[in-house]
Formats: sequence, C-alpha cells, structure tokens
Amino acid sequence: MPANQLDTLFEKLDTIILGNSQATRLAVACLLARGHLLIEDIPGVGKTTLAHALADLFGMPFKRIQFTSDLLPTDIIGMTIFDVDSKKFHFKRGPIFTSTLLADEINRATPKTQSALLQAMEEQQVSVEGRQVNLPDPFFVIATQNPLEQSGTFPLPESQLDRFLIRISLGYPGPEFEKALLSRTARKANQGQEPLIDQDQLRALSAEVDSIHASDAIIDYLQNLLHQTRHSGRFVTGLSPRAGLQWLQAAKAWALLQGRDSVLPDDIKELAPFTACHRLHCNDGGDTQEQIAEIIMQTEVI
Amino acid sequence: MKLLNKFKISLPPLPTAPPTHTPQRRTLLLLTVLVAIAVFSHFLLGHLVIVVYGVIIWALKAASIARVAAAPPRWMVMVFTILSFVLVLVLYGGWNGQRAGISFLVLLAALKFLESQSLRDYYLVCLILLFLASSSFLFNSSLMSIVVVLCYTIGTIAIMLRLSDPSPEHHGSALITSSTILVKALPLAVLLFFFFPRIHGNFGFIPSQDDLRGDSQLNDSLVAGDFANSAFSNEPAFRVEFEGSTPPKNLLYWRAKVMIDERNFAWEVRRPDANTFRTVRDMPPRTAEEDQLIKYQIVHEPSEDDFLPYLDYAYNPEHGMQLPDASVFRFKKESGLFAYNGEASRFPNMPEPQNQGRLANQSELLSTRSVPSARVQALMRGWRNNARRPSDLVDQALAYMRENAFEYSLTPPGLGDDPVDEFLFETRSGYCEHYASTFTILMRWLGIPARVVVGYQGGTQNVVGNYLQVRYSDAHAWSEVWIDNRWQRVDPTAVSSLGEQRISQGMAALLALWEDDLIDRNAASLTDYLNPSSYERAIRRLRDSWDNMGYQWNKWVINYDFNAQKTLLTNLGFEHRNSVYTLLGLLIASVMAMMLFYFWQLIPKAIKLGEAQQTYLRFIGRLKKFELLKEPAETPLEFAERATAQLPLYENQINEITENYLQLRYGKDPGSLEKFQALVKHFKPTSKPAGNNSIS
Repeated sequence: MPANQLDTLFEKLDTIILGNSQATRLAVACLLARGHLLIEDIPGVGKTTLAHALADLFGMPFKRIQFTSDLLPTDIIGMTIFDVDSKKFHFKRGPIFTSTLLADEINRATPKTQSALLQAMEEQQVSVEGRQVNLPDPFFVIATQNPLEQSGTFPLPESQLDRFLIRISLGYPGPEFEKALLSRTARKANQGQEPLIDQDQLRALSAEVDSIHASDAIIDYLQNLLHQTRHSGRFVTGLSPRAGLQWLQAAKAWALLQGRDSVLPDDIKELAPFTACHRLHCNDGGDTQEQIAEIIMQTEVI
Repeated sequence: MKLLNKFKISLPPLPTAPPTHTPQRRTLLLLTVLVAIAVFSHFLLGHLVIVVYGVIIWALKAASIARVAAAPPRWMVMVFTILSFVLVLVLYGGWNGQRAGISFLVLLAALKFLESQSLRDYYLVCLILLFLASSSFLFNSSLMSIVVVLCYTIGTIAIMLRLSDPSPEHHGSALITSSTILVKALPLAVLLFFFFPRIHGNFGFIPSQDDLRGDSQLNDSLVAGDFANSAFSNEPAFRVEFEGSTPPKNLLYWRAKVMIDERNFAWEVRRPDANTFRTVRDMPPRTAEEDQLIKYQIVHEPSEDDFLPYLDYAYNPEHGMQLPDASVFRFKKESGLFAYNGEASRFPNMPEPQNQGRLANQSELLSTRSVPSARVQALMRGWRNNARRPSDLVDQALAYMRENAFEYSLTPPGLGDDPVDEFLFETRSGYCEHYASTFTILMRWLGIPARVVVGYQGGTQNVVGNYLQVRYSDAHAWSEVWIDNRWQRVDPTAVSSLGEQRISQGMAALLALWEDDLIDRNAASLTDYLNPSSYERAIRRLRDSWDNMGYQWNKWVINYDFNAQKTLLTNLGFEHRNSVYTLLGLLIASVMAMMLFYFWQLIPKAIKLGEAQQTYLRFIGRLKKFELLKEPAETPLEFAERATAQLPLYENQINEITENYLQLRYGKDPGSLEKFQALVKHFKPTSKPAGNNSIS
C-alpha cells in the first residue's frame, strides 16, 4: 500500500534530515504534485542532503549543477558537437537530462541561463537546434538560493518564481537534532540509500494526487483567498490563476500524504506560506507571510 | 478600508492614472451615429443653415473615422468655430432664446467631435450629447419624446462605458449596464420630481421671438375660408374632463373670441384696452346656483392665444379675466400646456344681466360696412311685416335658410362683391363662417344688436379616458343677438342641411363622411360612422387609448407645476415656507438611504448554509457553554483539536462528529446526513463528567 510505503519513506527521511519533518514532507508533496521545489536557505543546512536523499529513495538519477555567473545555457542543456570519427554532428546531453536536478544557487547565473532552466521546468522539454527533446518523467528540479548573499546575483523575477510549486527553507536544526547530527560518525552513511519507491510507483502516486477530491466548498474557500490577495490592496499584484491551480495541486498532494482522499481547508491553510508567499510582493514592503496569515485569519471557513 | 475588509467588501482598485487607451473604432462609429442623430434631429428646431453646417462638420469627422485618417488641423477647427459664432449671431440675432442656445450647443457637439482625439475629448462629446438630450424637453415633453430621450441617453451612456473599457469583450453588456444605471436613478428622479422645490412661473428662460407659433391658435380675424383650412387640422386644441357626464354635443359651445367689427364680410377681434379693464373691475360678480353649473377641467395644449375657450357661458373663470363680452382673456402666457377649471350654466340661454340690461356700445353692434341689396331689402321687408317681436325676426331668418335648402360645405363656391346677397340667393352653400357672418349682418340691418362668436363646437369623446377631445378641426363660429335685454346664442349653421349633423354629431363625423366621398354625401356613410363595425370600433378604441395615454401624461406629469406641488406639500403637512428646509433635509436623507441601499447590495450575501452546515453549527452551539467558540477562520479540524483538548471526555464524540461533517462537506463520498444529524443530536455535553467516567 502506498500509505505504508510513504510511512517507511518518511521514517527513513527523518533519519537523514533530522528534526525537519515538515520540510521533508513538503518536498515529497512537491515531488508527488509534479512541481518543482525552491529551497531558500543559507548554505550548510542540508539542502543537498535532502535532494540526494529524495533522489535515492525514489530511485531517480540525480545530477547537480552549481550555478555561477559564467554558466551558459549549453552547460545545462548540452550542445551539438562534431564527432570526428563518425563525421557527424551529435547532441551531447547536458546535466538537465536527469530525473532529479539540484540547481544550486540558481540566482548566481545570468537571466539567460536561468530562463533556459525555467523553460525546461515549465515544459518538461528543451529545444535543441529547433528540435524539442523531452526530458525524463519524472523531472524534479530542486533549486536553492541564498537569501542573504545578494552581491553578484540575479534575483529571480516574479514570473519565474511562479514556476516553483513550493518554496521552503530548512533552517537550523533543533539542539537535540544537531547533537545527534554531530555525533554521527560517517557523513557518507547517508548516501547511496536503497530506493524505497520506484519510478512507476512514483508515477502512480502522482496520478493518485490528481484524483484527490476537491469539493465545491474547498474551491469556494480557495477562490475567496485568491480574491483577497487581489483586492485587499496588500500586494502589488494578486495571485495568478496558475498560482491558484498550483496551490490546489499542492494541497491535494498534502491531503494524500495525510492519508485522505479529499482536500480539507486545513490543507489549503497549511500550504499557504509555502505556495503563495514567494509569488507575492507586499505593497508596503512588509512580510508576505504575515499578510497571507492575516488574509487567512479574515476568511471564514466552516 | 478597514471597515470594508471587515464586511468582506472589496472595491475595485482605483486607477492610478487616467486611462489613455485609444478608443475602439467600432465605439467611435457608434458615437458618430449618435452625433448624427443629434445634428439631423435639429432640423425640427433649428435654422436650416445651422443644420446643414452641422452636418458638414459631422460628415468631415465621420469620413476621418471611417477612413482612419488624422484629425483636421487646429486652424481649421478654429475657423469652423468662429464661423459657428457668426452663424448663430446672424441667424438668430443674438444669444437670447432657447433656439439660439441649442443651435450653438449642437454645433459645439459637432465641433468637439471633429477635433476629438483622446478619450477625454470623446467623453466631453458624450456629455454635450446628454445635455442636448435633456434640453429637448424645453420644446417637447410628450410621452413619446420622453421615450426617445431615454433611449438616446441609454445609448450615450453605453458609449461612455465602452469608451472607458478597453476590453471589447465587455462591450456587449454596455447597454444593459447603462439601462441599469438609469433604472437605479429612477427612484431618485421620482423623488426629485415630486419634492424638488419648483420655480413659480416659467423657468426663467425667455422664449425666443422665433418661438411664436401661429399654427396653434384661432385667428383673431374671421375671413371666409379660414376655418375650412383648419377643419383638416387634426391637432388637438384641448381636452376636457367633466364632473359627471358629458353634456350633449349640441350644448358644447366652447366660446373663445367675440368679434364685433365687421368689414366686408370679415370680422375682427377687438383687443381689450385699459377702458375695458376698468369696466371689468366695476362689473358685479356673476352668481349662479351650484346645481345649475356644469363643472369641468380643461388641459390646453401649448397655445399663443390670448383668449381661452370656456363652455358657454362661463361663470367666474379660474384662469384669465372675463371681459364684458364674456370672453376670457389671459395676461400671462404659459410656455407649455396648461390646465384650468371652468364652470358653465346648465341652461344655455340663461338671462345674462349685464350693465343692468343696457348695451353700452349699441351703435357699434348695429354698424355695418355695406348696405343690403334690393333683393335682400325685399326679403327683410317681408320678415318685418310678419314679425311682432324681435325674436320673430330671428326665427324667420332661420326659417328662410332652412326652407331654401342651404347647405353646409367646406368647399363652397366663392363669393363676389356683395357676399350677403350672393350667399342668400345664389350659392346657398358655405360653412359656419358664412352662416354666422351673414346672419349677424342681417340682424344688424334689421336693427337687432348682434355679434359673431368664434370658438369650438363639440369634440370627440374618448371612451377610454372618459374625456372630451377638442381639435382645431372643431373650430366653429356662430352668432349672438341682443334680444329681451340679454345675449342669446343663435347658430345659423345648425339649420342648414348637414350643418345639423355638424352640430349634433360633431365635426369628426362629418369629416369621416366627406372622407368617404366628397361629392356623393349620402346619409348611409354617416350612419356607418355612428354605428361602426367591430373592427372600426377596435381601431377607434386603440386610437383613443393612445390619446388617453398622452392626456394622462400631460395631466399628471407635465401639469405638475408650482401650484400642484404646493397643494401636494400642503396636504402632506409642509405648509410653511421654511419647511422647505425640512423638505430638503428629507430629500437628502432619502438620497442617503438610497445610496445605503445600493451599498448594501454590494455586500456579498451570506452563504446559504446547507443542512450539514446548520447541523454543524448546532454542534458548535452545544460547546458554547464551555466557552468554546469557533473562530470564523478556524477549520473544523482545528476547532476539534481545541475542543478535545478542553473536553477530553468527549474526544471521541467530537472527533466522530467532525469527521462526519468533513466527509459531508469536503469528502469525495458525502456519507449520510442522517447519521451526522443523529450524532449531533446525541451530543449533549454537560459541565459535569458523564456518569461512567466520573471520578466521584
């Protein structure tokens, strides 16, 4: 049963990423909802570990690109080179042809390079010499960016932030977890995990997310919230319909993780900070999380 | 803003900058049509040159819109503007007067339209068009014109809506929106109509010189041939509503003008002078018994006439001043239609004591410009020999006409140098003017003071509205003779063939007769007219209904003036002058109330709760006594968590109820409502722990 599989999966994940079960669950929800994950955090809190663990446990190939300002789109997508032996041009696939891609410090690359990745994320395909080449399915991008270090970066524009289904930050582990982490002998122990869920099962789980029921009542509630983001005057622009769809999709995945077959207002509420906030900008430069929380506080649900 | 958020009302965000999008070409073409309607309909009012000039300006712009060409250069617009000034000044001789003003407004609309480039310009054109539409009420306020102006206004507002909205997909509903706006304004309009303080008299506009219309009055002179033309004018003159039933047609003599000055078969009204007014002042009021009076109300169409029609004989006319000859003169002319009450004696030949039975101007009433011919003298001699009393002379004259088959005709042969002689002996055919004129001259030759009276006779009864409609075609002339110290009405037309029908059935009957066949006037078609087929009756009824609508509109809406408002306010208890302030306060209050009402409509209606929700609310209500209140934004799960924490004894029940509810409201498979209701029904938490779990 998928529920059991997921339970063992989370058990395993919790031994790898210590004391951050919400973040790991959100990451899995994002994967099941066929979305892409944005991790905004300082270095060294386990972003790479999380990405690796997810790839391993789901049995997916993993690749990592460290984004720098001189990274070119071809460095990601690959390029056509002339093979002297066969006297033919042939396309050398870039690192993007993988199921799990960790795009580290995405905001260090130039907009051109960023957009090459973001287009691939959106369409799950890349164009090579005018030809469309499909990317593997599943295709899961985990991008990270450092919110503090701003010099020499190209912050992602809102339109591109919109491509990420969920944004999380891992934060520092709690004291006990950190102690446990420190007392761990081999760092390598975490790597090379046996897959618990294979790719077919993952696809089945994704299909199950789509079949999660969203009642009229929940649609009303969500639409009410979307309306509030647009007309309350709090934000520069409100949430787009696409944002609404993604919010609902994430909530469905979340409901699945909770073992339910329908979305509850709680799912919508819980996912608000992770699906809505990175798409919004406050009018007064304030904290989007606070504003979203206020909107939720003012929206009746029964 | 906070308040709005509290009520979950979100107003559309205010635009930070005025919209600057280019208007849609389709919208502009529609606006072109509206401007064209304004310019072309100015034909009805304005000077032809102005209209042609306006059309030229409009056509320039229309062409530039159709071909998407650039706007004309500034200097050209300038030249056009100066030319407009000059044209209005030259054609109307100045700015005074409504026509000059409206003509200029029409040109202004066309000119502004010509030079329009940005959205703002087009808005301004629309505003001028709205102003023009309302200004049309200065000239016509009939029911029909209201409908036309309303349609025009809706169209103009729809154009403004389309201009303001750059997305064409909203344009389809623009007409609906603009109609809704007007409908919403309707209560306010009704309120203002009744209670907005009205100005006494004419609005303060000076009617322009060119406003004097000659067609809407009886002429001040009577020349043979006049009435024959007016007989074909179907325009209504006035409408009368009687208290009680309408008197028979042959008593309906609407007296308007008295003519005593004769010159060659033509008669003229003598306008009252200072002397007349002095006489009037000294005249004792005429009194009559209440039950002898016929009472009625007249709603008169706009008219330039100084003399008002009253039913013969008028007693103490409400409107105007009754002159010594019993005609009624008005000093102040109303610009639009007007209403007044009248009273008449039930007995047409009632003695009329005037100047103690003496005639002040007997010589004038006997003077003639011509002498009777030998034949006429012989005729009169015969009458004199047989007459013992003056009234015998009247009878003999009438008998002569009756016996010699005098004929009533609207197309009589012309009369030569001695019209009386020719009429009496040769043509023997004519209409009321010939009869009244001839008869009056005869009477004067016979030494009986006589005069010609002009007015209306009869009218058409409107069966729908139960009122009498009198048209210009009902105009009539008759005689009055001074016998036995009183004026007596004699209508010589009534003794002629067909003239009798004219009096007893009305002019409309006669016209219908002639319409059928002008030459062969057989009585059959008259019978047909009087006993119409059911189809004809339905048509007439339809016509009556239409006329009645206009009449009721005139009577209740147009006629609601300063005095009517005063009466209404007095009846409502606002008697004093300073209660106007109270009234204004009330007006403002009601406008506020109306705005609140519309605001209330903006507030989203409470979501209609389903049965499951109501049951769930009952469940929440049961927890109230534990000071467990569900926050509006709290989800059922969150609330259940809080509740179980506080009431661990009921954890299972609360969780079960919550689960069932969530399944019903959010679940894929709703589950059983009855089960949920039963669960809630049995959920009766008490402040004390339940028996089996109790510690004590």
